[in-house]
Amino acid sequence: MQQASDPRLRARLQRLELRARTAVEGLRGGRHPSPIKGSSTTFAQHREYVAGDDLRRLDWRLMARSDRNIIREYEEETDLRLWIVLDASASMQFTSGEWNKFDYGSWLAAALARVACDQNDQFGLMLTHGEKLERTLPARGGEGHWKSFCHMLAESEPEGAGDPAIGLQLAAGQMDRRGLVVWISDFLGAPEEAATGVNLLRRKGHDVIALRTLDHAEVDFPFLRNTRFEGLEGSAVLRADPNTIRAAYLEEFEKHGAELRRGLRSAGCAFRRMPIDEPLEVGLVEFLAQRNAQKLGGRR
Amino acid sequence: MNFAAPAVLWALPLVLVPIIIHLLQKRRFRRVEFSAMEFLLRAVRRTRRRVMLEDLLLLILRTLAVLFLILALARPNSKDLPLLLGREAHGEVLILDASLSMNHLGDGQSAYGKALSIASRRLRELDAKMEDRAAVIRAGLRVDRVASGDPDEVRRVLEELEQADPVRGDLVGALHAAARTVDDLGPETSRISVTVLTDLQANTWNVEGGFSAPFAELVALGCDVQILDCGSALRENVAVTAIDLSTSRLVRGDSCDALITLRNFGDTETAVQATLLLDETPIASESFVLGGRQPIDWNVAVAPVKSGARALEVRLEHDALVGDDTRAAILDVGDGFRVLIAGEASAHQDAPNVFDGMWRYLSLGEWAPLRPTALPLPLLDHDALAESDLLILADPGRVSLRAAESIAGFVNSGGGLLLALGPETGQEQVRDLLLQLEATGLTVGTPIHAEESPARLGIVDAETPALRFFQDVRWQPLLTEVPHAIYRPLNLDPNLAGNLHVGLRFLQQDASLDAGAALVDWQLGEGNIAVLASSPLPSWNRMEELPGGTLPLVYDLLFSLAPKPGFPVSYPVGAALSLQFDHPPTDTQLRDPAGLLLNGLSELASLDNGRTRLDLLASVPRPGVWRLSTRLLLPDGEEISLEQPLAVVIPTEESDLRAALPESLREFLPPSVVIGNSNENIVQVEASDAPARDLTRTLLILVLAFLVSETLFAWFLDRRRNL
Repeated sequence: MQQASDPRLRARLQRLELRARTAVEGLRGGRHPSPIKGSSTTFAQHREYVAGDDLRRLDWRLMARSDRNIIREYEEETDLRLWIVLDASASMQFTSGEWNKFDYGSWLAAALARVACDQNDQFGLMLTHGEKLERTLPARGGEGHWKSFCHMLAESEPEGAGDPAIGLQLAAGQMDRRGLVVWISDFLGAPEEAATGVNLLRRKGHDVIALRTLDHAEVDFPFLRNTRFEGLEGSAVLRADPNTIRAAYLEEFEKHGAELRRGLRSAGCAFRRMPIDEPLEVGLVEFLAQRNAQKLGGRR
Repeated sequence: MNFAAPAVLWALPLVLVPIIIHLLQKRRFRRVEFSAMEFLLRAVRRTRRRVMLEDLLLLILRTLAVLFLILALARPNSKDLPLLLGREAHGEVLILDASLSMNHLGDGQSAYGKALSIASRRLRELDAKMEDRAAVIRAGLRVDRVASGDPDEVRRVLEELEQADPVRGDLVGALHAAARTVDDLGPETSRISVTVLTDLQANTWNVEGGFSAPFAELVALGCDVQILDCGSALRENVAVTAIDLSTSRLVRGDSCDALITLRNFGDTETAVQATLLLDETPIASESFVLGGRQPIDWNVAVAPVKSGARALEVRLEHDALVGDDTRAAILDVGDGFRVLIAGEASAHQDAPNVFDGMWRYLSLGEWAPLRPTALPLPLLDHDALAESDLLILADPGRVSLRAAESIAGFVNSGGGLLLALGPETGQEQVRDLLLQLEATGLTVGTPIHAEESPARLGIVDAETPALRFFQDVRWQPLLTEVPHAIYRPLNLDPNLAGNLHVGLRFLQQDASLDAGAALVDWQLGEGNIAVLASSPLPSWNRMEELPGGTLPLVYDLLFSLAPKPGFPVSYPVGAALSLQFDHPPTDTQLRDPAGLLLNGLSELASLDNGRTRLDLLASVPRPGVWRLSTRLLLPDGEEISLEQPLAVVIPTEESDLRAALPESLREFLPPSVVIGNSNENIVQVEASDAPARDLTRTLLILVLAFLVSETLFAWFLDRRRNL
């Protein structure tokens, strides 16, 4: 584990926080003008109705007097607990560009935690290394906790081998209260195990979002020259002309992805593939949509 | 396969370059740490075999491209490789000269055997799978297309053709047949070769042979025409070329001369032993030394004791050409002719007439070949003639019309007639007889006495059969220097007497004046007639040194008029064996020269003249003495047994084996006709048949094909693999 005084750690932490904040700010300023106003009984303000607002929040009385469509907004009060399970196995360090899948997963986790922090939600972090659950940050709220969250991410390195779903299943055992679980992984394991892990969480009342981080080299297999492929997990070595196996590889990859998607969705899990060169907001939107749905479902 | 630039072949190790590049590529790997190894391993397991095959195919294409490029740069040529590379269908028409001369044994193998070997080899070069077609035409006893179609089938048939026929082959007919065969082989065959396998015998291959037109026809049909000389370089041969009998019909007890001609057709002096056999029994033998290209005549007197048809055969020791070392002839030995002298003896013994002269000359005893009987002319009738072979009208006066008709019928059916003129013969009285005998344009002159105008006989045609004795110039004075006391010159109207043949004329004393014909003969139906204008009066006979004086003339004249056998007794090989008999034959048997009985051959046909034709063989295949035995059924129910030998002889031209010179052939053959010689090894034949083909272009095309294939295949693989 890296020390907090480590310049590389500090730089990484800063970059992590910066990326997370930037992503969250970008999300606020763009797609939803007021997406994170709550629906508690503590009044906050009135404002003009904009398309997309929940019609149940219209202030009918004020509308009758002013002849305008006014929305009533309340201070957010929530008991949402966000668990982020980040796969930190060795395969997550694969990259064909500037950052690897673990970097991207960390940024995504930090950004999600930031959003939760801003919403006064509690958020926790569990890091799985292959089939082991190595580190856990309990779910709490507040700015300081987010800093700790980011620090824990920054000082972690991807290592260990195994099916990430086994790590998820271990993590599920430590989640005492129902909440929203965001599982960030490359999912390079058995689709059945992944579905089993999600089912375990679902049985405990959790909502699950699965975000699959993938490098474009894994998706497109752009290698051309003869290559000695060395496995990041384990000792597998393969010498091959990538051209001769590309089609078969892509077929296997797509087949695995389809099985994974089918298994997770049948388990009631939102699943999204996130190439690591995509903006983080895509993942956040998915998270927010799921969070809102859960909150609505919880109030009902 | 040969190479015009063999040094380029040193570059052959370059074919290893693609293999080395391939192996080097397998050694250079970029290292990549990868996450989704499981998928990679599965992909490799799935594709390993297919990828290996694809790589191997690419490697083969590249290696072959390099290999063929090097071979192409070495400029190869070959006769065989085009077969492997594929080609259009070929047609091969082989003409086998199956004449006797092809049986000549040269270098341990006959020309015919050599021709068969070459033909067989040519056929083996063809390939039925390539739609090749072949035909063999044999020019032997007849022109025969022995086989055509599948080359293998044709070759099988070819193996059954053992030896040539003892005849002259009709090569011109074979060439015409080849032209028809070329049409039959049809458009499936792109190139048709016509090859004549012959010994190029000069007797056959000359400008008179009529070869120009058929060869030109074949060339015009687009054929590659070749003449291949299969004969040996050394062509020595000795043959019996002729047996000439002084008479083919002999009376028992008499003798004839057999003039046998032997000939050395080679250039070196050769010793031979000749044997003459009479009915298989040797009767004479002689050794000869024959100079190069020289004939020798061997004269043997033959005097058979037994009557009947007798076979004479001359044999030499066998040499390189067997078929002409023996030759046969048939001598018909009779018991004598029955001569009927119609006339009357002179009333005065000191003044004998024509009848007396004839009687005196012909009545020579029991063993004489001619046995005369006499009959007064008025008593001459059909029955009397039926008992006779020859009729002599001795100085006839008037001849009744009935007698004239009987005489004409007698001659028509084969009897012989001698009209011996004398002083009593009436000019008018014999006119009707001459008209009956179809001697229009012939008139008898008035009697001339020697005192008035002495005349002697002059020979007009020495080949006249009646003058056989006087064909020897030593004896001619005995005939031509005898003055004639009384003679009746014959006058011929040249416009009417076209069928009459003049053998003798009367010449006046100064030998410059023509005093009319003395001997005229012609044919009527099956019989022969002669008019002798100066009959052998006893006063003729003034030659003490010769018994009978002018008798040889009468003798030979009567023999020339004598009835001929009902069929010829000598046949060339290949001729139809067809005989005519006065009475229908039955139980006919025919044996070939080896004594082999040929059954079921004969066919009978009744002819308009009342005779019966017996067809034995359409084409008599072998030379030698053939023996016919049959029984003739007479009208009264009796049967006559007939044993008849038949001489079958080969054409003498086949014995001369000299080959025609190529320059003489060029005079009448189209220029494109190739003339080859099998003695210069068959390579020359093959070379002209399938010239070495430059394969450079073919190989370059293959290189291009390999490169294009490799590029397309690689492009296809790239496209599939880079999905």
